Amino acid sequence: MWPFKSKYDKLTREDVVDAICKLEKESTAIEDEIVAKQKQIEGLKVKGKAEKSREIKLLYAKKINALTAEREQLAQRDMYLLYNLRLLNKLKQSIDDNQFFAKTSKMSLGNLLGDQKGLAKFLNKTLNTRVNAENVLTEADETFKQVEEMYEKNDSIYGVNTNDDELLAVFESEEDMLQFEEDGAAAEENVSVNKTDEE
Amino acid sequence: MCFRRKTNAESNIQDREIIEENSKTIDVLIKLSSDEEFIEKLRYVQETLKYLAPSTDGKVYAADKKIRNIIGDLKIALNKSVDKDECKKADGLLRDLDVAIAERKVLE
Repeated sequence: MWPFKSKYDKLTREDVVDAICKLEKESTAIEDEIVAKQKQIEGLKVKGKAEKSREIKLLYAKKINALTAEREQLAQRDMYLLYNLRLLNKLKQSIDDNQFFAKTSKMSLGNLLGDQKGLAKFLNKTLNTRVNAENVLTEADETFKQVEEMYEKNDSIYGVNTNDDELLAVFESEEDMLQFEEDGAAAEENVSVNKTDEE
Repeated sequence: MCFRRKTNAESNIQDREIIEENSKTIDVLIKLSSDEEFIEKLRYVQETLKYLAPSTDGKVYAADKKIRNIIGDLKIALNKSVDKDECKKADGLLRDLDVAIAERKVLE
């Protein structure tokens, strides 16, 4: 194993954070300067328009051009800083990812998932437990059915004896009578409706 | 050669250093912030951080590192030019910091 640590091994998150903060401050300062120069340019333009002397107008024009060039230079510096910041943020994200994955893989449950053989054994055991439990229930259900099939209905209690049979006959004939009366009433109604239609 | 067991203070020196660093970095955040209400919340957090008990437990050390990371992000958010999005981000990070400290206290 190489005894010397690379720069990236020695790099800490705090170093990256401090670098980002420093660049942010510089970027903010440059942006403030750009805004200030822009205001100066606007001011000089207004003065130039109002000025009557050609010499003074020329002076304002040269000043505006100089300020414009400075402003563009500052804008380019700011763009460079923004690009730099983007990369530093990516570096910070990488450090966070490294810490996250290192921490997560060290977690005891994460370690367990790494043992594939043990996991397969455990899952098979769980499956067998489930199948056995289901078998117990299905077997119990079969037992219920078998016992129920053996049972014979007691005719003395639930069957029809001669007295019951006579009464059932009476009930059935009363039902027929009622049905006959209902049919008759319906037929009469039909006949009266037909008569009114013809008239 | 005589071997002796490390004292408690020697064992948890790493954690103590992080706790101290976190508490001191809050001073920097207070200087960077311009909102009075935010500064008050930071002072409250600083007081809480000062009195966290250092530990040799790896989980506690990881929780303190998480707090340090959030403080670092808060420092970046406060350094950026002040606009609404960055203020919201700073408020969100402060809430995350409160949660991280509460989680840390559970591990004590």
